[in-house]
Amino acid sequence: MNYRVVIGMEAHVQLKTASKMFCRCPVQFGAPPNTLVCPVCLGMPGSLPVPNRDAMIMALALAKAMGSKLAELTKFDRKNYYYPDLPKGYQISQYDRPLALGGGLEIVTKDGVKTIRLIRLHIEEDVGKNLHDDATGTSQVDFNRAGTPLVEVVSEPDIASAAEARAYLTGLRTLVQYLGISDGNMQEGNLRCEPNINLHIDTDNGVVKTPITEVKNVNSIRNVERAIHCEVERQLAQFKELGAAIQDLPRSTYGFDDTRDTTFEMRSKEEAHDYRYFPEPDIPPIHVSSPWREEAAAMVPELPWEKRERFVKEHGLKPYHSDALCRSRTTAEYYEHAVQAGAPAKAAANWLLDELLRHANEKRVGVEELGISPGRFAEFVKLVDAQTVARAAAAREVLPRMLESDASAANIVAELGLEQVDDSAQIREAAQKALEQNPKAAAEYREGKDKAIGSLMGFVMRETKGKANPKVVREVLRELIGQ
Amino acid sequence: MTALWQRTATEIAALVRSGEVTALEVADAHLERALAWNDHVNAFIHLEPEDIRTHAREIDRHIGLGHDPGPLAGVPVAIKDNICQMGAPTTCGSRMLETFTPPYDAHVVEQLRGAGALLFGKTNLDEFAMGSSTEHSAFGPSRNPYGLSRTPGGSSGGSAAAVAAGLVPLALGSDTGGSIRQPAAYCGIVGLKPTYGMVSRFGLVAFASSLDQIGPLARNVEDAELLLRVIAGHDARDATSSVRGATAVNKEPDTRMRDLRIGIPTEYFGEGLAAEVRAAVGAAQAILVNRGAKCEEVSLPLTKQGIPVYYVVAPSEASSNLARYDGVRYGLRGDAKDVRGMFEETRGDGFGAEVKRRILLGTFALSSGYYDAYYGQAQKVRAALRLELDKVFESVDVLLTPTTPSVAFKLGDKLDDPLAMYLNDVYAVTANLTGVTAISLPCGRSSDGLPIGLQLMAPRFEEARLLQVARAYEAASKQGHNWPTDPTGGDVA
Amino acid sequence: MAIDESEVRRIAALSRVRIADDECAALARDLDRVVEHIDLLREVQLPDDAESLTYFDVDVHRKDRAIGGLDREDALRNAPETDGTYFLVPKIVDRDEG
Ligand SMILES: [Mg+2]
Ligand SMILES: [Zn+2]
Repeated sequence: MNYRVVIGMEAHVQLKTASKMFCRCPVQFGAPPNTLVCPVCLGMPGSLPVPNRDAMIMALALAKAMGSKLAELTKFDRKNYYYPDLPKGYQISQYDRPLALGGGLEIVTKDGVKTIRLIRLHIEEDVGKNLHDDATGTSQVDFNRAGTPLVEVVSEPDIASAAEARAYLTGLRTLVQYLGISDGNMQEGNLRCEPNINLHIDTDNGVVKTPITEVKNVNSIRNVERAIHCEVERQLAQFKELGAAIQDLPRSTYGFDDTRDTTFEMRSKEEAHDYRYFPEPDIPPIHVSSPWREEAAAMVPELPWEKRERFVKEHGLKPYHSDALCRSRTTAEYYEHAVQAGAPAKAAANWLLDELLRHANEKRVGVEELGISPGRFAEFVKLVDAQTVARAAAAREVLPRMLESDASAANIVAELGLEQVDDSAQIREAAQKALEQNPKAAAEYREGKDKAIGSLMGFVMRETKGKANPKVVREVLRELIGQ
Repeated sequence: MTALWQRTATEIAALVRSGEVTALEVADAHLERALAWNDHVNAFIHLEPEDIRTHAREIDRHIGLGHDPGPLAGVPVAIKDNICQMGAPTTCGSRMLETFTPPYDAHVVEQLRGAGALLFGKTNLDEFAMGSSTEHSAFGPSRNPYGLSRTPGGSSGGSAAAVAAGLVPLALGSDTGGSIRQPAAYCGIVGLKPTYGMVSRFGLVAFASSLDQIGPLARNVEDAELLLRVIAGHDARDATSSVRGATAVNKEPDTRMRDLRIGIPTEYFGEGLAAEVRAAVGAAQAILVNRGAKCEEVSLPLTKQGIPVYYVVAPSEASSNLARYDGVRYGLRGDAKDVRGMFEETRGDGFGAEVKRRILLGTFALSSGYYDAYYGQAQKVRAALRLELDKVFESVDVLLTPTTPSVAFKLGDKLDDPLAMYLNDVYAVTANLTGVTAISLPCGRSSDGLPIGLQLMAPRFEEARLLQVARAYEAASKQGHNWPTDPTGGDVA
Repeated sequence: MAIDESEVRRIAALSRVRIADDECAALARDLDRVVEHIDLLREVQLPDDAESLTYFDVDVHRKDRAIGGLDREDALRNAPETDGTYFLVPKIVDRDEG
């Protein structure tokens, strides 16, 4: 049976503003419950919403970066429903005049490059948080998060696999980090997504489309992939059981349980939700003025895919390396500052990706926060590139010390006496001795057994206490054996 | 010397500022009057004599220190109980908020404190300002000082009764579909609905966000203007509050009575208008004409659409604005053990019949399948109504109409016929739907001694012109405030 | 008959307002009469793209500056049920929009 997986993604990006979307309360993660609240975000009688200008500019910047069409006139609407974490009994959102329409996000998977189109972007406010205390049989509500600005990004159902979903979400996260408008961190909840999944199954009499399932409470990109796999299997099984009749079933909402690695149907609401959207009367329609558009445009930096291509062209990097470097804006900028400080482009890329990133991940910081300035790193790479110090020694000895102190690579190499010996006279002498003491190895090498040179190399390295430059040793030995 | 409780706010402020009279003396005079009368008229839901005296002593101490006490120094101002006053109960006339004490002041209350006003208590209203007679208040109806069996009007009935009976010289009300002007007409006083956006709604418990405006009730135009100047102006906490507010209220009027063109919309004088009201408004028109104004008949064909549009837009917004009363964060809570049960019980017990009617009507008008026919269509007709009125204002400066079709009706008369009660607002809703400013002035009395009110409407932000015409009529009609006969058996000075 | 008792029950459920049986009949009657009058709206013929939004000459937003809100004590003062830290409600079961 062949079929196509059809996924549309609803993502909510929590904006990194100073104040909430419709009131002046601070936006902070992890403050004591109900300490970042006011009459407005508590929905107290008589309170009124006033939109956060900079949150709207941030959303416009994201829309611009994704090539969406910015609205001339936009307005807020009320999404009416009842829930303990929803203080006003409605969420201020946008319905028929969102901030932006269309646009797309380019993703790269092993099958190549593809653009996931967007339907729309709009601004809305987050709800509070409920905690469930089974002991007392009550739920506790914290309204600190209520009113936090969100941008909802709704994609067309262009995503065709779990891998594409991963690429889309990683791309979105990188983009919002590039724009500096959000941390885009799913664990911390400032990037949340709900895949809408169904299957188009080929059957003898045409294509059967299974009902769309929206999967909620997925808190990592990894779990999005797992939820998609679960849903594909569940819907296939359901199709096998019901056949074409599956098409009469209504849309449904599922949750994802990552411990039992399965999706579970959430209480399907008796009446489909009637949110009774209507224009938010407390906030008049807003003309998206040209100063706003200019300010949004100015926020858009060189974008990840643009930087990736430039790194390949200008620094001669392999696409894979360029992609790795550009996955974070701060890493990419750190790399370029090192190159501008004279570090050889390719070597700097390798050292950064292999060594610096490893240290950074261990310390759970960005490379730029390791305490090694791009200049110092450039000096280190130049030193190794000029073979003043052996690669292995540089990685094992020099770099770790640079992390602990702000000494330059050169001083560390000198202090530890790690300078690689290039002085061929000293090497020639040692090579001479090696040949005399291992005539057999020399003979084998002449008869064409290249490996034989290994023991000779070892002898010379010991003789020079490991400081000799391996490349130079190899050349001298070949020269002497050849005569 | 006339009793302090009979003085105008302007006079009291001058007496207190000059030190001739202390704020405490003003407070005591009005408290004596209020405590005697309130049992009869039930104007106040919350009246705390000791708090008032403490506040009065503070004002006097402030003056003693030589500080400028402000334009409303020592003037008692009653506040409708859907306007938040920090530390005072703000019940909205509802069981739902009986225990609610806001931790913040409404913008207008901040302005009053800043102007040295004496906050004099919270007045009775129809629950959540939904009604035209205060009969929907959970704390019993207020009564008309000119006939205790009659309604003082609504929903700002308590404020109107308090001002008319001399319990306070000034009061704040709120007007969503005539809720300041109608009670002002029924109680023979001045009531002004400012242009939408002129006065901040921050701290006004929302009924219909796109229609609500806070405004003054007073015994003459000068006092109404004095209070308006204090509360008008831009507030960063209200996204619909206009920057034009302050300038509009301080602007010099631009038309002289001689060139004034008054429009008389025929649709406001059709059948359904009581003969005595028609006659009184006609007489007022004559007074203005002989002061030099020119009157001309105009037409507003969409006027009869006013009630249908209003009773879709207002209930729709109300159904959403009252969704926050769910028992979670404040107010009444039903004791069901599941969340949904708690919501339904809280709202079932907390809201009175009229509020439930309007919430259901609004939810119906917004619900899927009905939205386009009701809410969508109402918004379009509202926009058309606004265009129609703006067109008329290109040829006239103000409109003159009755404020209400009849004088104050008897309490209980319209309770079992909600539609009849709604139709009562026919002359008032246009101003709310189009956002223009409108004022009700006393213009005589019916044969059984009940006050009649006339309405003047002016274009948005033309309060200066509106007040100029109102002052001119008030002066020309030579009517002083007509004090109600004293139900307490005491004689009237 | 735009609104009958079953419609009243539907709308009451949507509005989360418990309606006693004896209230239902009266509500249906009153609401129906009002809706009948509201249907006057249908007489007005307007193009479907007729303007429906009201515009304002107001500056409708604020700079992204944060100022402290309420102390927790004030925030919770009116709470029907609280432990001093949270607003307490009956146990939420369905984990979805109520
Ligand atoms: Mg959303
Ligand atoms: Zn807040």
